[in-house]
Amino acid sequence: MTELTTEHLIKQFGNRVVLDDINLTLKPNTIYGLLGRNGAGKSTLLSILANQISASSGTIKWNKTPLTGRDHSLQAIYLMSEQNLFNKENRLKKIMKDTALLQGAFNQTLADKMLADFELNPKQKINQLSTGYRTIFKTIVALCVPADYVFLDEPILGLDANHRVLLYRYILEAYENRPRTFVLSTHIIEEIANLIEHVLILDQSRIIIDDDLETVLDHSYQISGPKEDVLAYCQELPILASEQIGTLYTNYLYTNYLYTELPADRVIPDRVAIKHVDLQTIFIKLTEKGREQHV
Amino acid sequence: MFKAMLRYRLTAIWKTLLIALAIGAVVTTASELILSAKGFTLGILIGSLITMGLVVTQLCLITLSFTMTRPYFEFGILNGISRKTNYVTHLVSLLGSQLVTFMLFYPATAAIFQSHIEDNTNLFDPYLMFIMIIGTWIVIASGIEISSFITLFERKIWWIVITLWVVLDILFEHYVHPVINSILPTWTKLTGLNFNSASIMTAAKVVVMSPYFWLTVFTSFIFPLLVAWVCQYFMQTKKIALKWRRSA
Repeated sequence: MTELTTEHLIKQFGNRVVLDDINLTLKPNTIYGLLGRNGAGKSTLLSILANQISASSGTIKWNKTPLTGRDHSLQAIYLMSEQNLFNKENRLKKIMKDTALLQGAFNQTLADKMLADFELNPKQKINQLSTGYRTIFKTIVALCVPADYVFLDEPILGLDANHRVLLYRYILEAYENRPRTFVLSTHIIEEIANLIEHVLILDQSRIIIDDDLETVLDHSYQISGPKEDVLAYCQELPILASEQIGTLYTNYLYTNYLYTELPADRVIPDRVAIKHVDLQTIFIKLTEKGREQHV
Repeated sequence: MFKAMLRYRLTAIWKTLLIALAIGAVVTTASELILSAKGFTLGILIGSLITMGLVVTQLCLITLSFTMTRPYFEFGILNGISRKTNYVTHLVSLLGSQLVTFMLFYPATAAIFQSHIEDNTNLFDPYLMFIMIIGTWIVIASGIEISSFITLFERKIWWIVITLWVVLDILFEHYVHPVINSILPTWTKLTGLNFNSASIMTAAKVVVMSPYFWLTVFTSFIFPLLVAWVCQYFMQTKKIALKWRRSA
């Protein structure tokens, strides 16, 4: 299957650099989590990959062939974004029919099942739907098109907890029935942590993490205990952030190429506890402002 | 991909045209029945319906040229349709539909009018028909150009550019054109038309054969389409469209 790669991708809006030297490879049949704070450039990156907007410079390669210019068409990629690109006056049924026409195929069986489960009436017009239902419908269409790469930008925007759980189930089901690459971009990290295989973290216009979820979690540590013990143990280690609650001092670490794991020869003080942290915590520590003081 | 996009656009156009024709037929029939109750004949009704068909379809297509740029472009882009395919299908669907509807309704309308015109005007004159088709195309091209332009620049800047455009046009007419005329006197001959009280057909022929006509076709039909193509080439989704910055 085909890989989608970017080389030295840069996007500027006026003088503001939104994406800076993005080099990444999206592999077939993988579920990615694209994480980043507000304004990090997630939506811009996905829009560029889907050719909805163009990059200021850099190359996008599809199966190692550069996609040049603004006018390449690539139906193998489908981007479901926050924006509504459907004709607002159209009924859901009509939108699905038109999508099938332009895409050449459409999984109507899955669409009907999802519409029924989410209690969406196909005769409704898209502009009559609430934000949550509009998101659900856009995601339904994205799961039913024959694209090999499906980008879901904020697929749970405005969804209640029940609908979110149901949607995650359908994403997994769609993946199991026809493996393809999904890129999920969302702020509700703890919920997608069980879904994704690979993590991409965008921060300050750059990709700072591009690794398997397992590796990311393996590299993430929380070291807690009395301040002097923790500081002594963490000497020269890549500390992301520190916090003190009462007498408990905690350092957050993300081991890197210098320290791929904690030094085995270093004795762990009795009162110091070391454990791995979850994806959301390490994301916050990696991207919070002022972390440079600690790194 | 091209065929699918063309079918998508044509379906929308012809659905609108058929609805407009149905409404127009009801209104025309009702008007005929009420207004000419005594002199009502089937022939007059059919004549009215055909004339209405010509007027309604041409007006509908002109309106669609203004309204169908953005939603169809965005839906195409969402489904991986290239900008070039989007644009070409836009032109083919609108201009093609205009040709078909014109050819469907014009001959019958012309025949009806021909039987009522006493002078020697030939409404089937190819020059005259050509001018009428090009005339509608020019309006459609302007519609495509304006809607593409507004979609690209959003609401914030397009009126500034259009104002600038009008000002430049006025300046050209008042200051540049007289200078060109004084430097190149033959320019006036090329752009002037002399009908010498000719009939409509002769006048149509004079128009079509004159350089002025082709200059007009270029500036009023080809040029707007070129502008629309450039706009659609750079067109993006609505939030990311070029905007007039407040600080600018």
